[in-house]
Amino acid sequence: MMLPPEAAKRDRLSALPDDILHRILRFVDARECVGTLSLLSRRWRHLWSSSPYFTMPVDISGDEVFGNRMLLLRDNAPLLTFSLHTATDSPDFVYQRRWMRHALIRGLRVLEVEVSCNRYFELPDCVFTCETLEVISLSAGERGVLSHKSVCLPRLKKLHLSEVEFNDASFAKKLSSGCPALEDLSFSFCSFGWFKISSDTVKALSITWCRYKGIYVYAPNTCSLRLTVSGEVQLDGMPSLVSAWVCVLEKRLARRGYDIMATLCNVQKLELIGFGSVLQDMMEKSDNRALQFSNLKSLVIEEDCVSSFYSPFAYFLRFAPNLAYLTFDRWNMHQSDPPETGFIFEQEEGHIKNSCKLMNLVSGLHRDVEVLRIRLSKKQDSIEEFHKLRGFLKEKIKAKEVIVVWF
Amino acid sequence: MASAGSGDEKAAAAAMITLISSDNEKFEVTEATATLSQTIRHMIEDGCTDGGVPLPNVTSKILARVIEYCKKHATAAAGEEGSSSSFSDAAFLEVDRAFLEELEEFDDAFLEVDRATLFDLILAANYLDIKGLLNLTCQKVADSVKGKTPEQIREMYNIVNDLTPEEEAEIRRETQWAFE
Repeated sequence: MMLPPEAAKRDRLSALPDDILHRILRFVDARECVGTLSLLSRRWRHLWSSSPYFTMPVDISGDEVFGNRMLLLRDNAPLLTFSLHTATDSPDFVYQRRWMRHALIRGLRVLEVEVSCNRYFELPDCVFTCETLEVISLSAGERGVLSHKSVCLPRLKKLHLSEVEFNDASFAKKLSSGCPALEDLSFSFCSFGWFKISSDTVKALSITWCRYKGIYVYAPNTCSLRLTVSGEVQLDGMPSLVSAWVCVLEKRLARRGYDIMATLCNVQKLELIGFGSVLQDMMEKSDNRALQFSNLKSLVIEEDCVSSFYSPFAYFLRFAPNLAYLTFDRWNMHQSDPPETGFIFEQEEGHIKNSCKLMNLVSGLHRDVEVLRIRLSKKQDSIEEFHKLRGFLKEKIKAKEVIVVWF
Repeated sequence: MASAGSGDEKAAAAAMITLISSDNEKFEVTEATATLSQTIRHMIEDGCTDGGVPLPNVTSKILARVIEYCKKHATAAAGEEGSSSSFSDAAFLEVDRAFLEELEEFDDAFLEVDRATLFDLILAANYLDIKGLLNLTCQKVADSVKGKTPEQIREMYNIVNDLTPEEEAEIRRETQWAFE
């Protein structure tokens, strides 16, 4: 009788197809891939040299010689993903830039660079004219700079830049016109003066913890928006917007706040952080200019200011008829301070009329909400306030789940 | 199916897909869960999922585990991507730190499987094109060989050494530079 080979004795690892083994090798230290795994058997001898991934982690010493040999001794296989994490001593990143140039002319699709040393870093010019690149992700330490002469990235879908300074205002324009396939655009901890983003293709847009004088965004197909407001902001219409996270660090925003909210009013999922004065401004508009949030299903408001706490609550219950998940959070504000940005969350005072208090909620509360979460802060709220609110909500709201927490 | 207005939206939110394993077991999953698989996503886009999606390469035992993974991760993915197609009610849960930690714990517990199951999961993740699961399982294999000698790795995975002593010596010479 024929029995299948005993399962425990089969070599299922070597039987995996090359592309899966390459994926596994990617998670193993490059030295071990070359020096240890190539000794396993004939199947393994040349695997490292045909991998489409080139990964250079930060902790390799003598990385220049090692990286040179890795690239020199590769098969003639395509090199698709180049990941570099460097904290180099080499002042101009000479050999890292050489590796990038080498990779870029071999059909590279994904370029990931992370610099974790405080040195002036600039990507080679040829990165921005590479016809095959689909993803660029750069985290440039504290002193990354972008000022490239021309941008032509016909296949680029995803551009994520972190800790980069734009010292050429026209670069934004070049990016907009040079990336006709861009869908996912993200800037974090970047710095630019005036910046204009213009794209018909971008679906996910994120501008967080950046320093800027002003940004103007024309991206009508955006589905997902993350934005930290720390200067002038003008958003053109985003009719396809589904989810938005917006954090306000700029106090003098009230004038523009209404316009930002108007752009957001189609969303299904909305998170607003530090919106005290903006919400107040929005709520003070007469009813015929009141913004309707007819698609809104889930709302999170993180707010530091007690007097503005209840009125937005009432406002959204009134103007967001489909709201099912509602979270008011005064606690997260203190947890989400970004490190080392120098931004300070300041408390709004005196802007909001004290009349907008708990009792104003009564009219709004005939509506059913499925989930209601409220977190108050021990720092500012009294235990009486907490008990009053909890008792009131338990009595009035028919939510499936009501959580009121006092931190 | 076509009805006006909010009726359509409700139908879309509740859209269920039937997955059929190699041993003919049927699994009903939401579209948001199923579309974590790029393979299934493309089938849905092409409109060829009526009557169920046969998956001849995946047994019911493995498919059940894959679905468990997708259900857990569908929530997170929808929150991150924000694309309307993968939006479900579950997607509106807060994706906050606690949730990400929970997800990590889930992943760790999920990987507590024997080697045979791990390889089945890798092959299923590859076939179904579920990138997160493929990376997770590949990472697990990678972690298991880190810092080991060739002999230890061979023994662990039943790898037959078909290199002659001469070949082995040659490879050692060839790759000496990796340790310089």
